[in-house]
Amino acid sequence: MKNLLQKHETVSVGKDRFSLGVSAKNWGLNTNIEALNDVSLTKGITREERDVLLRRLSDDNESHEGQRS
Amino acid sequence: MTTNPMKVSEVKDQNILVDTNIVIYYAANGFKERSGNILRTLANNGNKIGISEITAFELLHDEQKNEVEDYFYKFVNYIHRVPVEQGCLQNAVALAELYRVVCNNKKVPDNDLIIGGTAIHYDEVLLLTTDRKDFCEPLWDTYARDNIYYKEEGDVEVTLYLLRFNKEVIKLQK
Repeated sequence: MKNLLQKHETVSVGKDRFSLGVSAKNWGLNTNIEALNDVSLTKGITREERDVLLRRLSDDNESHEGQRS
Repeated sequence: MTTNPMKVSEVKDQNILVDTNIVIYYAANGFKERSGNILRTLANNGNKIGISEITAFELLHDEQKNEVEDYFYKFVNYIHRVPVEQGCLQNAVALAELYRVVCNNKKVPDNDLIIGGTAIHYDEVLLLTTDRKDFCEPLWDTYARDNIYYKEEGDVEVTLYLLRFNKEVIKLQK
């Protein structure tokens, strides 16, 4: 059992330890910019609808802070 | 830190992680045109663009109007999605510690920590966002910036930031 566990590759996590410099050479290769360009809403969301969606992102933040306080 | 950063629309040949708020602005009526179709412009300039799988989650996990939901699904399926690898989460942990130590105990939502951790995990990746509050100095330097204006009023609708993680702060921490 011990040997099996030792075979697993693990990343040692430290609170001040960053994982840096993994190659991004394959980034964006499967972005279909032509198709993406064609993606559109018939009429787009309104400012109010946009603000509701953005607020949801920050509301997640507030509930997150609330849990910690 | 940089007094006069270049315009986002002029950036070339970079790897760019697109934050969730950009996709939401893109869904707003006329934003694509007002921004000069910024994602298309960036792609035409030789930049490689993608979103984190966390952004896909943020866009799709809530119930939306059918048309908006279809839009988000199409957007997510046409753009390169960057997986949340072990290193991205490791960086999210380290970032949370940096915000505590360097940014006066600042609390940042887990999703933003993971998106930030993803931008750091890969080599030479910039983060396109409107959120300068959570992606703040001195952890994140402004590489480029653009104001988007409401056509009718001429007011600033939002500022787009292209940010680069400041690796020097890791040395400050130690």
